[in-house]
Amino acid sequence: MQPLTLPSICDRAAANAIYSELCDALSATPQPVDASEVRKIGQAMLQVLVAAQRTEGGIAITAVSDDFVAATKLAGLDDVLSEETAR
Amino acid sequence: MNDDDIQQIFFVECEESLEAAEAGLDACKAGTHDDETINAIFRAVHSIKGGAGAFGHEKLQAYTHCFENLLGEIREGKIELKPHLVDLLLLALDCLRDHVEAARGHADAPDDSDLIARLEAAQTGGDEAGPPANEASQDEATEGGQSDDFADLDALLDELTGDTGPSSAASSDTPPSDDWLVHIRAHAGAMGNGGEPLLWLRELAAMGGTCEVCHTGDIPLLHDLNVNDGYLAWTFRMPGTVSRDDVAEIFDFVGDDVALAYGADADIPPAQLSHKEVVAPPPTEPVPSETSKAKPSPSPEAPSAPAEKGPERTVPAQQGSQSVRIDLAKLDALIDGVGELVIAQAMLTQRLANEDFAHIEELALLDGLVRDVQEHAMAFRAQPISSVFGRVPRLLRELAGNTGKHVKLEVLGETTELDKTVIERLSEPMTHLIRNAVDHGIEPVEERRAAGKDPEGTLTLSAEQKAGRIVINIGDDGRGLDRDKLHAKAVSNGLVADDAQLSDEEIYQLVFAPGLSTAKQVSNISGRGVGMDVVKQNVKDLGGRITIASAPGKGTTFTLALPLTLAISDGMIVQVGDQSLVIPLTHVIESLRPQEGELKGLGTARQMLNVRGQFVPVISLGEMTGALDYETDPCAGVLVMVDSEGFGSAALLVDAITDQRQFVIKSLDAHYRSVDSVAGATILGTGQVALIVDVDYLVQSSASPAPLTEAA
Repeated sequence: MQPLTLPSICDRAAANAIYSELCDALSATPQPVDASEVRKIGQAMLQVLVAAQRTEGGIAITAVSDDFVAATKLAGLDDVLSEETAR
Repeated sequence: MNDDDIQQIFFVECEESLEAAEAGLDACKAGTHDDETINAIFRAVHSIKGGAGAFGHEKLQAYTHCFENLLGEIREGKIELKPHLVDLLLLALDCLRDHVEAARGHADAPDDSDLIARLEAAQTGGDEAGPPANEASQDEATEGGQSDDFADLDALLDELTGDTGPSSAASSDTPPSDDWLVHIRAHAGAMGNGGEPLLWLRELAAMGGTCEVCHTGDIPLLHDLNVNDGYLAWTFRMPGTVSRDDVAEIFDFVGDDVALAYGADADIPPAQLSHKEVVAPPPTEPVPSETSKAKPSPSPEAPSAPAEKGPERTVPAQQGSQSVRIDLAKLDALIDGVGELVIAQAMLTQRLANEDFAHIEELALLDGLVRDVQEHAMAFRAQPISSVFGRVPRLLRELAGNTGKHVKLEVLGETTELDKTVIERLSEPMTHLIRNAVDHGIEPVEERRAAGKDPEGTLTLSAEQKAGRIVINIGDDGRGLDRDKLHAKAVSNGLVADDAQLSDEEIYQLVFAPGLSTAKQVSNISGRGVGMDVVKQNVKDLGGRITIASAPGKGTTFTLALPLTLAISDGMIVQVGDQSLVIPLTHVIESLRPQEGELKGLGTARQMLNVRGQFVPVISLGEMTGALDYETDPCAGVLVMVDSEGFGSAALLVDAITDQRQFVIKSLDAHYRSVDSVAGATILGTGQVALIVDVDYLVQSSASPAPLTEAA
């Protein structure tokens, strides 16, 4: 399955774009998501990722950047959106 | 109200915040500050930062972020506020002011790289800011404070990717028993206009807060998600050293886009979702953060410190304002309307007087009401002069950098109010006078020491309302004006005759003559002899007067007497031939009808009036205005004694005095063109247009340097 790569700036506009892609891409198996290029991420994108993760099939975060980790940690979502815990 | 309107309000609030910060730092400089002073400075800078983010002023936001980081450390007592640190903060404030101006589009953004480096160095304690009180948290804060990548609006999210500052340090310590909880719910609007809720979390973390729980329960399945809605809420544990007010300040600019609740017993504020019906998500427990798992802390239900524990309460982030902002154009329209009302009232009075109803009770009542309305309307435009005085500390700092002279500032009467237009136009002449005072008036340190003076000079600014005018004094304790040198310079420039006998005041007034400067050395600050004449012209344009008092070795004081307003004033209505003229009452000393023996001829045309032993020139207004059938014999007419600025007194010859009343000033420039000797026009109760006499010009032209030379 082709991984979906998050852009470096994950603001609300990016969240809207990724949302559509994820809606189309989600299937019975976890959709790989590459967060290794993320430099900035906001609430809108985090919500999309959490929603995708709890939707059937879910997502699997395959790679993360330090910035992504720092942001999810700050938001208290590091347990939910990490390489290890993602389905 | 569109975005531009809202942004203009932000800039107005920036001004207020800058003033508040300046006042706070001045208190720090004077050593009269307390914790609340530091809080106020922090709040001011933080407010600017919040607005800058909302309106996409990245450079301003990046700079304020760095500034705020240092202030935060000071506020938390991690860095001691030493005098050199206050100086650095003052410099930082100056730069912040420049950033705000740049954001308004009035200037280019300042080069702040050096200053940011210094602020960051001060934060680490690596420079003169002194050793930090808490090494660990400083290191954390420094990493978090690095912000060199703010190339775009969303770049502020960069901050999120750094270390979370003191929170990391705080989380490694055993939490104090008075920790408390705050619950934050971000609504949809919080993610718009460049806003980002994660920045709040960053602020909370910087205060030592740790995320206890991220409430994800409202997040639906992906297909039911509305990306623009806010589904997340957080519970943060804050240390007891942080107050609820501190936290609330973070949300100053957020308005209704956030809901807050405090205390372990409080419910999480509910989400405000815009889309249809949320499909119930799987029963998901709130996701605990790493912090809560790694370090089981008292549960949110556990009682926290009594001071911070409270009943469930959702508070708006911004309290209702006690004031209303009004578009200036609307205010001006109101003032214009009031001006017309004053004219209409005068016309009605005139009409009723013609019908012998001049003293009816209703007219007196109307007169009182109109005056009340006019005064209230004028009060809308009144602003405290502190907005002008507030800029002086920065000016003194800049001058200190250029001249090496450190000057103390003493301010009195800064709450005195005057018309907004006067305030706006006062800044330039005041700046020039202050530059001169520091550059030329106040002596170098060695010279002051030798004279037995305090090595640090003092500049005194005062404002007070006196006899319907605002009197502003700008005084220094410097060397004073050199009377002899001024006189010699004026003589060599041909401004006065060699043997002219001039009073001290007349000689001091020579400093306003174009091209006259006694400065030994021309600097980039002053001394070129240009500027002081402009100062006088500016003050004159405001309908004001400027006088000088000076004592050798003790200093010089410039006194500006300005009208309270530029729109409506009191005047004496005089008749000259077929013309009615208005003489502003502020110039009028007395009126008299002279005896023949009190008049002396001078040459063929000029006459002098002997007033109690002093001779003053008689100026025929009829002659000046070209009126028809005016009175030429002073003994048959009336002489109105007027005082001018710098050129003494004169007696204006008029046929008769007809009234004394308020008049609405209409600019002649706007409706016709500028005319010498005419300060404007007004409409009388008869509906007739009357010219307002420019007393200063008339007296000046009658006592010009040439006659002075002749007289000498």
